[in-house]
Amino acid sequence: MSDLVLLRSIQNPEAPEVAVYETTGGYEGLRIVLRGYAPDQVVEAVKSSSLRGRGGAGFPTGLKWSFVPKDSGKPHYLCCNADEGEPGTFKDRILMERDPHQLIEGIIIAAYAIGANTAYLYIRGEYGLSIRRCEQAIAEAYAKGYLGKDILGSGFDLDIHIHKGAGAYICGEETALLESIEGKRGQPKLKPPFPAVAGLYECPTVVNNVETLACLPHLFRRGVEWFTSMGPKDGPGPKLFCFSGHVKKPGVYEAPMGLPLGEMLEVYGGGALSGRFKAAIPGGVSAPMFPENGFDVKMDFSSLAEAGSMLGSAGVIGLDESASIPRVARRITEFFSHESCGKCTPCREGLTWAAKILRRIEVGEGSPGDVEQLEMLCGSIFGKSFCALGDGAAWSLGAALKHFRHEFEALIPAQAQPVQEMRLW
Amino acid sequence: MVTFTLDGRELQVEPGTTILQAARSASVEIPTFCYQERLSISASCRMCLVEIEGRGKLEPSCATAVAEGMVVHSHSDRVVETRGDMLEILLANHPLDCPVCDKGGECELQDTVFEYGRGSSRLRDPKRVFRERDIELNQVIVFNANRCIQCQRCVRMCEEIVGDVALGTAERGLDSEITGTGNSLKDCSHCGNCIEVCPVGALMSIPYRYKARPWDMQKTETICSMCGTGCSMTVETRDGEFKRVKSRFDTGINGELLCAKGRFGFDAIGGGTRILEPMIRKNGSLASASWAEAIGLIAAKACEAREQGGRIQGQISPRQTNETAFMFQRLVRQVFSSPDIRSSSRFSGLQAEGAIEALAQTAGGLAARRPLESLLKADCIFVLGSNVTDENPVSGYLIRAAMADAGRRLLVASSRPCGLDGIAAAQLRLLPGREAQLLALLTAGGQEMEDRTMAGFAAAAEPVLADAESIALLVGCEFLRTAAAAETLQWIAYAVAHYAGQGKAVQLQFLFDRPNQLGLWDMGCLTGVLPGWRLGGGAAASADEAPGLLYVLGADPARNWPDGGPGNRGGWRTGCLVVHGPYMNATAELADVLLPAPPYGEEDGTFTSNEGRVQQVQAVKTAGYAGPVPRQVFSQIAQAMGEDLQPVAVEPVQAAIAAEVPGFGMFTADGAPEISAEAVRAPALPPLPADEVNLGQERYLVTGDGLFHSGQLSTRSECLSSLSGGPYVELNPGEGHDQAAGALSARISRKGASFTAPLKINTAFDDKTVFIPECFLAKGGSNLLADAGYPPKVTVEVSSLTD
Repeated sequence: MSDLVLLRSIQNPEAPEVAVYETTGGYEGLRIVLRGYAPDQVVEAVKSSSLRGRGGAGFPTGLKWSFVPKDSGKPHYLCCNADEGEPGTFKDRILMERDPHQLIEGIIIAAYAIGANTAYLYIRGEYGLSIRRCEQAIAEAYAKGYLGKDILGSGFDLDIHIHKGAGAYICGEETALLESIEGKRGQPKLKPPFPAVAGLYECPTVVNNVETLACLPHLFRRGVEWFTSMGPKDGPGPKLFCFSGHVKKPGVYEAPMGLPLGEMLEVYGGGALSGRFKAAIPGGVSAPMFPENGFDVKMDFSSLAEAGSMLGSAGVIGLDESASIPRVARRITEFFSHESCGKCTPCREGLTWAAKILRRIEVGEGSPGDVEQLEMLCGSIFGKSFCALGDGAAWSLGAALKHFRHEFEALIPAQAQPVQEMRLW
Repeated sequence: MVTFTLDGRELQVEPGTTILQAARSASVEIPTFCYQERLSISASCRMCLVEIEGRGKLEPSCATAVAEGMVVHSHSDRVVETRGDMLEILLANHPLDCPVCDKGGECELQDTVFEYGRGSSRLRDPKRVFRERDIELNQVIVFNANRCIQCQRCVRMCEEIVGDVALGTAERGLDSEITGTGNSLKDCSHCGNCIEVCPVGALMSIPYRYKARPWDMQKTETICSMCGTGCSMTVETRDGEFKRVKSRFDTGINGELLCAKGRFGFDAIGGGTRILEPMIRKNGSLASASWAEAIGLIAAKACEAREQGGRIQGQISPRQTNETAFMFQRLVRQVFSSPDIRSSSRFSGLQAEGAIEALAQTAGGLAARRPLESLLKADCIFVLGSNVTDENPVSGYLIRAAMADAGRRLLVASSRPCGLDGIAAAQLRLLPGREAQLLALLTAGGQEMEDRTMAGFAAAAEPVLADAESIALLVGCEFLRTAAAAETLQWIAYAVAHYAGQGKAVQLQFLFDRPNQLGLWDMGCLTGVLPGWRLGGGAAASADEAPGLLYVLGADPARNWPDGGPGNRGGWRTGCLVVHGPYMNATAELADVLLPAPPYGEEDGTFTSNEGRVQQVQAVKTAGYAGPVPRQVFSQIAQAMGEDLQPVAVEPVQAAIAAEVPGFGMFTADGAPEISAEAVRAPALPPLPADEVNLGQERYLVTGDGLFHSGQLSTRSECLSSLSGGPYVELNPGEGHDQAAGALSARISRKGASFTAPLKINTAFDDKTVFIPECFLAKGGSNLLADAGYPPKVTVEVSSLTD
C-alpha cells in the first residue's frame, strides 16, 4: 500500500483531520508553491506534468489554466466540480470523505495559479458525508491559516464556498454547473466564450474535477519528474478506478494507467460474479462498452480513445453473462433521457423516443426495423446535441447495438410486422 | 472584413458576423426555430447546423462567427439529412393537430417541415400527450403544452425585452414546460409578444382564438394609435370585421414588439357610442339635422363671432392625422381669422410666458430629429419625467433591449414607478414640475437642495453623465401640465447645450402619450406656432372671455376640465360649441352642433411619431356613417362663409404641408445637424412649491396612462377594460401598511370633489404622491384637477373595504 498516492490514507479513519493530514506531508505542496512559485510558474509546472483532467473529458489541466486572461480586470474564480453523477463513478466521494484536505490543498494551489480569490466547491447534494467532511476541513484550514487572508504569509487570499447540487446530472457539465451556482436553471451554456474567459458571473473561471485537484499537492511536493514517471507519457499521474457491476470486489482502486481492461477487471475487480464477463464499460455509462473480445484495450486516455471509447470518469462496470445487454441499454438510455436538461431537440426528444423503443423491445413488443430506428436516433443525436450528455448517451447506445445487435434482434418476435413509415402528407 | 465561402460563393462580411446572419444577408435560407433577432442566442433547436470544412462536428450557424477563409456548406447532404432528422424527432411527439390549431397556415414548424422535412416518419410509437387541456395563462394568453417545441423564444422575450420574467420553464428534459414560476404570471404585462414569437401554436391569443384562418383575412398595414411611439402593425379583418393585430419582425420601429394596448386594444374601434348624423341643440336637447343645416349654422355663428370681434377657438385631438390637423388650423386661422388653436388641453403649462418659444427650441427642431434606434446607442440613456413602460411600453421594451449592452447606463427620474427602475444606474421619484430643478442640479450644480433624494440621485447620476461620451435624453410630457413647463423646456435646452459643450453627442426626444402630438404641433395646431414651427400668428384672446365659437375636433376637453379649465375659465357655455368627432363624450353632450367624423381605423392619413417619423395610417374598414369627412366639412364651412378652403384629398394636402413644413415626411436615419453648444445661458429656475404636503393625509395627485390605457380611447376596448379591471388608486402608504392588511379603499378629495376606489399599494412610489389612471377620472374625479395647478394637492383617506 505504500505506493498509493491519492488513497494513501484510505485506511486511516482520522485522515480527515488536518493534524493527521499534515503528518503525511499535507500542505507541504502548498508551502512549496507559495514560497517558490509565481502563479505563472505553477501553470507551467502543471503544463509540463501533462496532468489531464479526471472528470471525463481528459483535457490537459495546465493548458486549461493558461487560457485564463491575465488582465481582464475582473475577479477570477475556481470551481471544483464535485457533482459526481456519472453512473458507475464514486471516486470523488471517497476522496472528499476520506481525505478532504488533499482536495482543499489542491484547490488552494489551483486558485493561486489562476489568480482566484474565491473558489466554489460544487458537491452533489446526495453526498451528505462529503459535504460535512469538506465543511469541517474548510473550517480547519481557515483556523490553520491555509484559507482566508494572507495564506501562510504569502499575501494570497482565498475563500472557499461549498455549493450543494440539487440532483441534476447535467450540473456536472461545467457550464451548467456555473449556471447552477449563479442560481439559474441548470442548463449548459453556449461555448465560446469558454469559462476560462467568461464563466461564473461572466468572469474568467476554471472548472476542475476533484481528483484532478487532489493530484496537485503531490505533484508539487514530489516534483514533476516523479509525476510524469507514473503511467503513460501523454497523461501520467496517479489514477483512481471505480469497479462496479458484476464484479466480485466492487470499490475504488488506485492503479497505474495503461493496464489492459480485462486484467484490471480480474486483478482489482476480482473477476466476474458468474465467472465470465460478457462486456465491460470502461469509463462511466457515457463511455461505449467493450465486448469480452475487446478486453485487451489499455486503460489510459489515448488507448481508449483510439479504440472508440474513453477513459471518462474511470467508472468500470463489469457485465457478466447474466446481463441482458438490451436491458442494460434500456436502463442507461432511460437514465440519460431522465437527466436530459431539455434544452436541445435531439437529446430531449431523441433519447425519450429511444427509451420508448428499448422498453418495447425488452418486453417482447419489438418489430423488425426497431434496431434501425434506434441506430437512426443515435445518428441524429451524436454530434448534434448541444452538450456532451446527448453525445455520450448516443455513443454508448450505439456501441451496445453494434456489439450485441443479435441480442436485440432475438427479443423481437418472429411474427411481428415491420415498422411502417408514416406519411405526413 | 472577413472573407469566407458559403456554398461555393465567396462572401465578405464584418468581423463578428455569424454564419446565419451572413447567409441571410446573402439570401441563403437556413431554417431556425430558437433563433430570434434581438434575443440572446440559444443554439438549442439544432435546425441551423451547418458543415464547416475542417471541423468534425456540425456547428450551429446562429452561434458561430465567420472566420477568415472558412468554408461553409449549408446545403450539403449531411446538413440536409440532419435537418430532416431534427424535424422527424420534433414531429415525433408533436400532436399534428394542424386542422384545429390557430397557427395553421402561419406555423413555422409547418412551413419548415414542408420545406425541409422528409414527408414521412419512421417513428411510429404513440405520441406523448403532455396535457389533455390547454392552460389559460391569463385573460389573453393560452398555452398548449403538446405543441411546444421548447425554442424558449417566449421565455427570452419575456425576460430580456419585456422585462416581466413572467414566463419560465419548469421541470427538465421532455417534461420541460413553459409556465409561470411562483407568482410570476402576476407580473405579466399582457403584451402578447410571447404569442408573436411562438413558432408553433403553443402560445395563442385568447381574443383571436378560433376566430379565423390567416389566409382568409385582409391585412392592412397601419400605425398604432395608442401612444406616440408609432409602432407599425398589421390589422387583420375578415369580411370587414376586425379579428386581430399582429406585428412583423422586420417592420417599423418596433419589429415584432407591441404592447398590450397595441395588440389587444384595437377592438376599441367597435366600442363606444358613435355619432352617426349631424345634430343641433334645439330647445335644450340635441335633435337630428341635415349636414347643410349644421354646416350653415356653424358658418353663421363663425361669421357672427368674426364680425363682432368675438373669440373663436379650435381644439383638436392629438389622435387626428397630420392632413386633417393641417387643414383644421387653416380653417381656424384663415377662415375663422382666429389665432386660437390648441390641442391636448391637459398641457396648460404651454400657456405660460416663454413656453412656446422654448417648445419650438426643443420639440420643434425638425432637422435634429433622429430615430430612437440612434438614441438608444448612447452611452447613457436618461429617462426624465415619464413612466415610459406604462405610457410608451414599446419604447420601454426597446430601452431594455438596448440595456443588454453591459457598457450602457440608464437613469430614470419619474413621478411614478417605472418598469426600468430596476436596471437603472440611478432612479428617482420626482414630482412633475421639478424636472428643471433636477436638470439645474445636474448641469449647473451648486444648488442647495432641500430634497435629499434628489441630491442622492444627482450624486449617482453625475459620474454616469460625466463618463458618457453620448447621452440620449428621453423626456416625458407630464411636465407640460405644470406651471413650470416653460422653465423646464428652457432647462432641457440648456442641459442639451451644456453636455454638447463638453464634447458629448447629445440627442433629445420627447415621449408623448398620444400618437400624433408632435405632428399636430408641426402642422401648427398651437397658438403662436404656424406650420413648420414658425413663431407668430398672434396671441389668443383672454381665457376669461367666453368664445363666440368653440370648435372641438375629436377631443373631449370637458372631461378633463368640467369647469372649462385654464383655457376657458368661463366654462363650456359658449356662443356655439361645435363638437366634431366619432364618439359621444362629455364635451359632445354639451354641444350645440354635433358632427360625425371617422375614427382612427376608418380614415387614411399620417401620424408623426415621437421620433419625428411621418408614417402612413390606413383605414381598415369603411366609414361608419354617411357624409363628408372632416376636411370636406371644413371646405363646406368655408364655402358657406364665402371663402375657399382647399385642398381636401390626402395627396394634395400632403403637398401643401410639404410646402410649409420643411422636411415633412423626409425623416431619415442620419443627416441631423450638430446641436450648437453656445448661446444658451442657464435659465432662471422655477420656484419650488413653498408648501409641502402634509404627509399622511395630503398627497400630490398625478394622473396618466396605465399599462392598459390610453386616455379614453382604451376604455372603448372590451379587452383592455377587462385586463385593467376597474378604477383604482395607487400609492405607497409608508411603513405599517401592506397588502396583507386586507382589501383597502382610498378616498381622494379636494375642494368638495372626491374619488373613491380600491387601493393598490405600490411601495415604489414616494410618500408624496398618489396616482389615479386618467381614464377613470369620471366627472367627479376630474373635478379633483379643476381650478388648480398640476399636480394638485389632495386629501387621502384609506379605509378597509370590509368596513
